[in-house]
This record gives sequence, C-alpha cells and structure tokens, in this order.
Amino acid sequence: MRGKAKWSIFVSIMLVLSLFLAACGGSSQSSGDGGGKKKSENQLADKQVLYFASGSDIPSLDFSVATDTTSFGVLTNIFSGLMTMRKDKPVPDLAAGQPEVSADGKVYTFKLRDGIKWSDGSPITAQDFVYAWQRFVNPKTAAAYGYIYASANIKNAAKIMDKNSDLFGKVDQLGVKALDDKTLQVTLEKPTPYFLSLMAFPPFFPLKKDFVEKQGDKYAKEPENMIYSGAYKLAKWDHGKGWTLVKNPDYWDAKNITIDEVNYNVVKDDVTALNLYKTDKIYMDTLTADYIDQYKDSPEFHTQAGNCVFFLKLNVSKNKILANKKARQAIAMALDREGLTKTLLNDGSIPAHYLVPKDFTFGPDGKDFRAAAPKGYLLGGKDEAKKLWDEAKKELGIKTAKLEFMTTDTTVAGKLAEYNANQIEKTLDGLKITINKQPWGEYLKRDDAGNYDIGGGSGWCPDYQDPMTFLDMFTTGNAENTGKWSNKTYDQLINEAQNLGNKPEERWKKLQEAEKVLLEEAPVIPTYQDGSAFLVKPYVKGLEFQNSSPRTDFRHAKVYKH
Amino acid sequence: MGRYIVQRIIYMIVTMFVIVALTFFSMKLLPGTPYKNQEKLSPEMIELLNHKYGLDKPLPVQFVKYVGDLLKGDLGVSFQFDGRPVTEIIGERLPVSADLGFEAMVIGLVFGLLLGIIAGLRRNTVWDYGSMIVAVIGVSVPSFVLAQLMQYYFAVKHHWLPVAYWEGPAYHILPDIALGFGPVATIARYMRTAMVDTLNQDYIEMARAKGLSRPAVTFKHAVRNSLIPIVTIVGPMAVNLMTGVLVIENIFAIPGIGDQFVTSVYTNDYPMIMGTTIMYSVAFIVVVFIVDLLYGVIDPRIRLAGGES
Repeated sequence: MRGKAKWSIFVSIMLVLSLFLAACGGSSQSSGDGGGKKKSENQLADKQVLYFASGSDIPSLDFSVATDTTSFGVLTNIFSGLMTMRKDKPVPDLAAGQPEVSADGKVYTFKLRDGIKWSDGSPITAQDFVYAWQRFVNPKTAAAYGYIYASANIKNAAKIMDKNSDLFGKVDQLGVKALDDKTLQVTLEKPTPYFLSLMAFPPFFPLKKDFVEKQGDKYAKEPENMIYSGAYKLAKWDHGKGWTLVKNPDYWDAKNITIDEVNYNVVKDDVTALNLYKTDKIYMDTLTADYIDQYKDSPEFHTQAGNCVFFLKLNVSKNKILANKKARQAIAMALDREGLTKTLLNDGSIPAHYLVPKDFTFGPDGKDFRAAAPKGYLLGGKDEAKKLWDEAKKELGIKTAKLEFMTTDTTVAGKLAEYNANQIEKTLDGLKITINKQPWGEYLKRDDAGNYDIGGGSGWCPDYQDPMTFLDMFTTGNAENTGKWSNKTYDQLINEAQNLGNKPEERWKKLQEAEKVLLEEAPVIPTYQDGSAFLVKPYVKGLEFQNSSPRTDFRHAKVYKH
Repeated sequence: MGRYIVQRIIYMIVTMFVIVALTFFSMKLLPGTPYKNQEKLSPEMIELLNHKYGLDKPLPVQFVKYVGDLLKGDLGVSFQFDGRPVTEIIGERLPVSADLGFEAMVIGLVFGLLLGIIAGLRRNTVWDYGSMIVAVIGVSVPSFVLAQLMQYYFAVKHHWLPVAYWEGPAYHILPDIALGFGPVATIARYMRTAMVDTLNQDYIEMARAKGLSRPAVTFKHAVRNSLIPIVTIVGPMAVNLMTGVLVIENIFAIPGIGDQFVTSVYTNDYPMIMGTTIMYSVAFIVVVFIVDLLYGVIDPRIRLAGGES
C-alpha cells in the first residue's frame, strides 16, 4: 500500500509536469474566431459596447500637457473642436459648416453651430475658444505642444512664447477674437493651407473658463474634474487599469453616434492582448511582427500605413566622406529596404525612398502628394551604388573609409542598425561601419550637438497634415538640420512655398520639387514608412482608421451579435 | 533590547538618507528630459518647461527642497501621469501588487514548507525526489514562461479561467500560482536541507530517546528549529513579491506598481524614480529589521543585545 501511495504522488507530479509540456507543444492554431459563422450574424447586438486594450494608461487629459497618441485618442472623443477628422479629412464639428476666409487667406471667420453645449448644460461659446487658446500659448502654462500654434501661423503666437520678444506673455495679442457668442475670428500671419486640419487637433479645442479656473490644479485629473464637449464622456478612469467612455447625450450629433459605451483596459504585454482578442475580451488587437505571418490571410487582418517616416541623417558638415554627394547617394542606394520591412520589421511598414509619406497629404486636386514621384528618388539599386562609391573614393582620394552609425538602445533599433550597416558594408567596398548605441536622451543630445556621422535612430512624425512638416526641417539653420546640410535651391523652394499659401497648386509643385532636390542630394536617407497590422472581430463593422486622432474612429461603428 | 531597537532605527534613518541622496544625484545624470515629446522641443521650450517644474535650479537646491517635501510626506508629482502625486499613484497601485505578492507568498510558504518537510522526513524516497523535481523546475522555469503557458492552457484553450485583468477571485488564480511557484521551490529546498540538518542533531535523538511521539519530535523540535534559514529568506522574498513584479503584472494586465521601477527610469520621471526607490528601500529595511527581531523569538540562542537585559 505504501509503495503505491508513493507512486501515486510521483505520478501526479509527472501529470502536473506533462500538463505544462502539453501546453508548451500546443502550437496548433485554435484562434477563437470560430464564432463568426453563427446564424445571428446580421443582427445588431443588444448592447452597442466596444472593448479595447491600450498599451498605456492615459498620461494626461489636459490639452496643454498631453503630447501622446493615447491621450489624444481619448481627448478627440470626449472633447470637440471646430473641426473633427473623418477619413483623414477635416469636417465641421462645432463649426456650423466651412469658415469664411478673407481674400488674402489670412482671416478665418467661424460660425458656431446652434445648440452646442458642455455636458453641464451651459452653451459652448466663441469665448471658450479664445480662453483655451490664450491659455495654451501662455508661457506660464508652458504647453509642451506650444509650438503647434506657431506651426499654424496664428498671429503673434510665436512671439508670445518667445522670451526675447516684446510680446512675450501678452496673450491678448494672439490672433483670435470672439466677435460674439457664436462667431470666432482667427487671424494668421500668412495663408496656411493646412490650417483647417489643425482645428481638429486638441490644442485648438475650447475650454470653459469658469469651470477650469474653479478646478485649478485638479482640472482633468479625474472624470468629475471635467466637463465634456465631445461625442463621449469619460465615465470611469481607474488609473493604471483602464477607463470607460459613454455616449454624451448633449453632443450636437449624438443621434448619429452609434456606439454607446467603450471600455479600455491597460494591457502592456502583446501576447496577453492577443489572447484577450482570441477569447473575445477585446475586439481589436495590434499585431507584432511575430504574429503577422500567422494571421495575414485571416479575414480579420487589416493593415494601415502610418504617417511617420524613418531615415538616416548624414552629418554633412562634420564628416568629409559624407560631405561628398556621390558617397551619400551610394549609401542611399546600398540599403535593402524591402528586406528591412518584409523580413526584419514585418509589421505593416513600407519601404520608403521618400520623405513625405504616402496616404498622408492630398493636394488641391485631391491627389496624394506622392503622385509626383510614387516610388521616390535614388532608385538605382546596388550596382549603381557601387559605381557611385568608386567615383566618390576617387574624388576623395581614399581607398577605405570608416563611419560611425549612431542609433538608440532599443532591440528594434539595434537590429535595424545592424541590418543597414551590414547592407552598406557589403555593397560599398572598403567602407567600415561601427555601430554606436545610445539611450534615447543621450541620442538626442548628440544629435542636437551634431556629434555623429550617421544618425540612424531618427524619424519624423508629422505635427500637421502638410508636407511642410517634413520638409522645412532641412532648411539651412533649422534646429532639426543637425547634419548642417545647406542648399540654396532648396532653401529658396521652401521659402517660396511658405509664402504661397494663397496659391495651393503652385505651392504644391514647389514642395514636390523641394523634396526631389533634398533626396537626390541625400543628406537624409529615408528607409521606411511605419505601418500597423491589426485584427478586428468580424462582428464589429464600420470602424474607420485614420492617421490623426481619433485614429480608430468608432463613432459610427456597429456591433453585431456573436 | 530597547537600546538595540533605538540604535537600529537610527541606522535605518541614516541608510534611508544615503539611499535618497545617492538615487537623487545619480538619476540626474540620466540623459534626456522628462518631457515626452522632447525630440520636438526647442531649447527655449525645454528651458520654459524646466522653469515650470523647478528643474532649472541648481541640484543641491533641488535636493534640499526634495528632502524638505519628503519629510512632510510629499513625494512630488509624476511627469508620466500629468500632475498626479506620486504618493497617490503608489497608494493606488501598491495595494494591488501587495495583494498579489501576499497570495503568492502564502502559496509559497504553505506548499514550500510542506514539500520541504516531507522531503526532509522521507529522505531518499520517491517523496523526496518528487518534491525536489518540483523544486528544481520551480527554480529553473522563469515565472513568465509558466505564466504564459498557464494563460494559454487554462484561459485560451480551455476557457476555464480568465486570460487577464484583476477583478474577482478567479482572476487571482493564475497570477498567484505563476508568482508563487518560484517561492514554493526555493522554500522547499531550504526547508529540506534544514530539516535534514536538524534531524541529524543530537537533541532530536535525545527527544526520541525520551520517548516523545513522532509528531511531537517532528513539529516541536525539528520543524521549529529548521525555520531559521526560512525566516532569513522569507523576509526579502516577501518584499520582492509584494512591491510589484513587472513580468507577471504585465502578462496578466494587473494594475500594480511593478512596471514603474522600469518605466520611471526610461521616461526620466524623477519624482516617480524616487518614489519607487523609497518605497522599496523602506519595505526592505523594515522587513530586515523585523526578521532580525524574529530570530530571537524562534531561536533563543540568538537573543539580542548580549542577553544582559
């Protein structure tokens, strides 16, 4: 008997073990999508409720502090501006239709909709905009996104934030006026074609003065410290855990808002998020590279191009090899962007031989900015790269060369750097690349100081929906142009474009020309445009994806029975 | 005894001060700023923000202010979560971590001691080998592997338990086991060794010779005396488990404090770095102190202060 008892314990231990091993070998796919074929497929669910996972908690719900996509995603749902983004285009939200624009393109007059109100029942007025905007540019607020007012070319915004100006801190000099309760007038320094798209961006949303001032430091810290103007209200915010949005019955367009409630849970682990998706606990999941191959043929699989472009920055002023145009072009052509995006990143990113991303801005004719050069520039490939490199070596009178490739210390950045460096070394005979990994803060410091040869951890995400946000940073003397590349033709083209706000067609051409000059000179070498791949449950229909907040637009979606 | 306690408390305060000072000055050597969009900010803008948050003052001035606030119980406000007091963030998240850690610790103690005692008493039998196999697995399989395997098997494949989140009791089962398995293994191994050691002592022989019953010998003499090494490891172990374990909290989407040990450093969230450091150090120092006091209770041979009192 005793012997048997001993063995039964032993056997049970082995059973426990085998359970883990079985789980381990359980690579057979049982993704929880089997529920799609039920008979109730076309019936709306009783409750129009969505469940999502968010990689982080909401950092801030105060416009003047928020700078990240999570915050902006919530802000664009619980607050409204003059405009809102719908399928990547600004459409009137609190504004009653398109504004009246003066002949010189500098004065915009917005009429506000009738009956718009805050969630406490008080009306939203033009004064609420004036208050919010003045608060935002006030140096005392020190809004991290303050520069967006200068990008929008709003009159005196840059001066009010510049401590060397006479207008420093004089917020009443800002180019915004309430003509009456329902009329808002905005004055710009110069015509700005992308101005309207910025009106859908939270830094330009209204705030109710009495309420904000009464809340003081507590403003926007908890749901009860806010009053809302958007399609939703923040019903619950469990810090660190998640939050819930519920439909705002006071929103002017409430009758067209189909989703009643949206629940977010903070989920930091990618595998966990996927498991939650498989078990129908969340309705959408962004995939990491590891899972794309597994799901790319699924009907639930979607991809979306992002609007950030990643590139190598070459230090033209410090390094004599990189000062040589042919050497720069050779490096640009030596890279294998296909391999980089398909094999290494495999997350929906696309190879980029261009700086202004595709599917991002559309010209006066409605066409993508990229239409002028869909593929981009310097498409010669490796053979051309070798030829150019030989010529460059002759011009420089060298046989071998050494360059340092600076990047950041994340895993992905390290892999990308190794891949790119390897491609360059393999293609360009006699060129040796050493990789220098730095933490992000240190990387930025060295970048600013021009203390690098190749800045490989760089990229740019747009501040507003216009090619200028990508192009003006490479003009002579621009703070971002740390490689100190300088080209008169380029500077002139950009300068002309900046003053052609009234002639959008001509401006568009100048910008396209400028991009060509820049990329053919190759002080900056684009590598890829970001993208995302994600799964959406088949029973959730009508989600719209766009490149500016709200990025996942669920306002008009529908949930079916499942 | 009283003198000893006072002395220890003074040492603890000095230690805390040194930790606070070292952390404060070394974290300021981190490159970068706490501003999330720092890559887009002009130097003037950063200056303005530094002024707003008092980061433009000389370091010693900042330090004196920090210590002053600290003595008033104010740990400052976080940068990652706009303006929210660090004490509030810790106050919300630490209890969650402590809850999880406590449950894992209970599992660790109950099963660890049980396995250890069985293995010690039944040395070189199937019981012993079985327990030690579990112990070896527990030590060598990282908790996150176990967590993911269990999550897949019990939640995704069979829908028996929830995948993640921190709601009712059912949500605690997987994280508790995943986190508790390591402690089970560690405690079992220590306990077995201690039991084997103790059982070989003369006084056990003596107790048996006196004709004491088996359970009396086992529990009154062997187990109690074997607990000394366990008390040593359990204190710090409890601190580690209860102040937040990043991987387990991430895998089960538990809103604990664990991730802040890493994220606060990455994001240069100075007040949060200080907050988590102070929280951990205080817990650690206090627990070590308690453990030292407990020694005396368990083992009269280690009575403190030279036994004069």
